[in-house]
Amino acid sequence: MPSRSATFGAVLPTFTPTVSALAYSIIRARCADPSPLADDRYNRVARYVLAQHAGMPDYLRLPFAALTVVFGLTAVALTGRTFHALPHDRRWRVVEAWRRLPISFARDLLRFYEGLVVFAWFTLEHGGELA
Amino acid sequence: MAASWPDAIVEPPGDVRCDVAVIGSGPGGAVTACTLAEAGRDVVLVEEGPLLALEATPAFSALEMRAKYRNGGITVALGSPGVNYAEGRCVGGGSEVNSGLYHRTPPEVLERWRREFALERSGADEMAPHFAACEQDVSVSSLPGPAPAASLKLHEGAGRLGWRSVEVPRWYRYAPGGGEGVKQSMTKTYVPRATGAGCRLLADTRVARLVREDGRWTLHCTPSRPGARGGGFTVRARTVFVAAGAVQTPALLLRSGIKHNVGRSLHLHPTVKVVARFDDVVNAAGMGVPVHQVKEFAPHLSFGCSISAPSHLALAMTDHPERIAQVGEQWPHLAVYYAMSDGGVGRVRRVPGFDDALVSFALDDAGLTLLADGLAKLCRCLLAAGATELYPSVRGCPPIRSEADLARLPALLPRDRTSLMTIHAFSTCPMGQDRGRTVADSLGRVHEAIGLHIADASLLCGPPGVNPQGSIMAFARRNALAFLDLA
Repeated sequence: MPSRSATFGAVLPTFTPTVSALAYSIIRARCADPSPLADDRYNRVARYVLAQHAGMPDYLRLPFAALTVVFGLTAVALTGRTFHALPHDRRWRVVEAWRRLPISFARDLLRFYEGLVVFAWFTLEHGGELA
Repeated sequence: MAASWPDAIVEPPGDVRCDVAVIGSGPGGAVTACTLAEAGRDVVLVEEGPLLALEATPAFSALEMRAKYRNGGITVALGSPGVNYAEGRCVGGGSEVNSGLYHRTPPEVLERWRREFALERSGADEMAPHFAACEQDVSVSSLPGPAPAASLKLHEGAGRLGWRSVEVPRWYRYAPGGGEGVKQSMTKTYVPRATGAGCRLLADTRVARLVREDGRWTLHCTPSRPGARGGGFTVRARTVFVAAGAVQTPALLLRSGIKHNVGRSLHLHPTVKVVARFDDVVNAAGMGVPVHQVKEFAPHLSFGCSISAPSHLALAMTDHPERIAQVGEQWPHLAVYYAMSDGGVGRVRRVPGFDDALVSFALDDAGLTLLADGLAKLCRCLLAAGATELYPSVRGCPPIRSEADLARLPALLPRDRTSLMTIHAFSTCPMGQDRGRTVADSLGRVHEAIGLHIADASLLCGPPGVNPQGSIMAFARRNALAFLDLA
């Protein structure tokens, strides 16, 4: 049986790479981590965020996924490239532009991902496990 | 009282019959099942979540959230502002994941419920034996040694301001002479006692709906374990106690067509957090659960200290994102504190086509003003304790470094920038003799639904202003004993 996140990946193909790229960028921007992006902890955090999204209440799961895809498309509108194809500093400009939108759910989306990512990152940093 | 590990039945081979079915194995359901099983009743205890040992995951960890919380802990009461809340979803329910802080229902709260809901047989004197029995069963006790430093800071700050601060007892068993002790929970106490008395435990089983047929209740169940292959089955019982918690109990009743007043009066303890920095070291790995609470402004406001592991500190700092990185180095000097209030009202609704209940919560300006007042008082207390910087969970709020800075706190918490949470939900099916306001009578019997009872936080008539599990257990015990007396 495919996982819920795999199902979203099929329906909204940019959802998973957008979440992964966002997780990587939040770690870079918020957690002051200098290690290479290939560090396995980045992937573990991204997998955790995807798993937590997949476990959300069913009436929130699809709207959040759709909003995440819209967020990723903002990058196309602003830069001509998908969010996950951008280098970190340009991704973060997209994040800041999104954060300035006068729409509370846009900020709530970023806060949701920031909360999950920093919780997971500091869990790993202090010897905890995510799965 | 020592108890052995319970056995659970998962995906029974056929339909199940019993005298009493209890749905939900948290403090309300476990106490009910144990009381009835030990009285010789044929009881089946049905739990949607898995049977996991208390020690199966580290306390307050990411693993625990994934394994033992509903939706991995990602649950929110929609509103402006929304309120993140948490529900246990495992055998033992919330008792497996909480701090185990224990309070009796304050007498003035019981009196208010009597007055406003015509709640009978619930005075402080009438409830006292039930509180006492539960306290003995779950080993409610005080710390034998010093409290964590972060907890003591709050206590010191309150003392300097002349405010009342108390050390709250916990469900903990300590060996003679002290030591670390062992947290108690339903899987440590009432659940194994129930199964030891013959109660059958059906774990990983979701009750889709209840149907009254031929003088009995039929529970339509499905296996809820990921990857379960089996189809549905039924549990047939003469009497049903629903104890699935303040969100899932009304959701089940609504799915079953029972609607009168159901889910319309959700109450929470909306809580705003503050990260405090001290020059002293106040935090350490495995620091333990903070136990002090400031009760000077109870029941409408209470202050306490939260779990303050680095991951929780980072999460509490997300409204000050530029400061999150500092948690990595400064966490021994940081701790999370909270101001908890009792305002607002919400609803639990059924959404056709979806499994999960829709929860909404409305906090009016008076509620946000009360919480803002609580936040300011908490900050004042922490400054008095020696905090050098405070970071409230209000986006864009500047750090508080002095008494003069308190004037920069908003008098009304901004709806679009305040992060609220709670671990306390109740009152979605209040009890009492006033049928215009209640779902069940004073003993938890659902009006006009023969043989259907409620036995959890849903029954509490309003916010108790304290951690509610002592109230839940005592009312569950009282109502189960009344059921046995009246049967």
